[in-house]
Amino acid sequence: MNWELKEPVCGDMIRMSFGQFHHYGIYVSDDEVIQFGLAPTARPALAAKDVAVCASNMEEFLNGSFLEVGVPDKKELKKKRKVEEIVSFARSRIGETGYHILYNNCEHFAYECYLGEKYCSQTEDVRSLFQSLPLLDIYVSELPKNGKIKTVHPPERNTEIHACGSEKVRREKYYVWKLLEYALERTFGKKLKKLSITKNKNGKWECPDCAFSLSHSGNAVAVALSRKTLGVDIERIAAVKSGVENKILTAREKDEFSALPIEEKNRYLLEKWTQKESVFKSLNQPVFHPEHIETANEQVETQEIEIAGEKYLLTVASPDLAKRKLVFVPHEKL
Amino acid sequence: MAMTRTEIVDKLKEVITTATGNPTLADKCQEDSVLTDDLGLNSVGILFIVIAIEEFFSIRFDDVGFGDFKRVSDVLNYIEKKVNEE
Repeated sequence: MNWELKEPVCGDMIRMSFGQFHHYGIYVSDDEVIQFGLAPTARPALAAKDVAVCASNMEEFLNGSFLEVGVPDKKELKKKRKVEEIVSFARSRIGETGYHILYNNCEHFAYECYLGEKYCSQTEDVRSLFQSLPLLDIYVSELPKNGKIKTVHPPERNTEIHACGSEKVRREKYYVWKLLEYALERTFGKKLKKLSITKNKNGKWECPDCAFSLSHSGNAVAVALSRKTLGVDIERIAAVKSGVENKILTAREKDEFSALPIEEKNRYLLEKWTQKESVFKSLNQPVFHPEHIETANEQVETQEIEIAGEKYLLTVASPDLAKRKLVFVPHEKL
Repeated sequence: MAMTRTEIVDKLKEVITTATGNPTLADKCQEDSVLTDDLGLNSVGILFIVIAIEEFFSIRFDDVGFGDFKRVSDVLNYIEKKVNEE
């Protein structure tokens, strides 16, 4: 629908603006504009149950604003009802309630009268805006030392956890999943058991509704959530075996490493390792080749954190680093 | 793993900041704050917040109008009921 400043004729869909939104109605005459409630401006706002389809004159409809008249595009023109149908349908609805700010509002009503089907561009535009906002929430927690390992969703993850021969790994896999469950509710309001979570061909767990990444190390678990693909890695700060630099660094990084004073070398290797692992997870590749990942070209951020008296490096690879938010979760919550 | 009232309050403050683009509003967001008088929200602001709450809490408002929520506590009660229902 295009909107023009012009004189309306009977059966036109019209609108007035309030703030960044519009109020819609069906024009019959200057004395009769049919609409779902009056524009919620300069009048006391009503509860949904008190809003009804009503007729007013043009002055009351506009409430001091200017008038725009809808001009249907080609597709809409084919669906547009005859003038008498528009008017009789709108009149037949006067007194009807059932208003809903998002799903049954004045725009839905006007489109239904005009085209025979409900539509609302305004709420969809706002919703799209929120759905596209960058987001990066990172949750970390201490790995609980006690506690029974219970059943988790989906069954494939449950099988994977219980198949672990190592008690330590079993607990890590279980509690990082519990942290994911906690995080999904806090960040997206989503319950894990209602989501479709599967393991892809590269062995990475994924969900069509959001992006997540998992990591565990030592006595810590970490989960990162976003709307875009990402990778997280947590590593306990410890001595790295000598010779690792030959396996994981690129040629440029090896030069950089060689030039470092001895006391900085271990930290450098740990940082590079955790960054490369995060990038690898974010790229969703089948095989990890750290020696080919040049982290200087990637959007990664590393920070040192402390969990249960131990120091860790936490790295996340994400295009939304500016929105990074770190949440420490008490292990009793898992 | 039900969300606590405190967690919902913190999240709502984030949502209000995101929806309005005004970080100072979160500081004024107390349980007894009146949405229009204390937070200065007009009907458009409330509509933005309603949609943002739906998106960020993954809930759907069943039946709301511009005047259904007077105070922050009304919004919190509604969210608390919705996010913790199975």
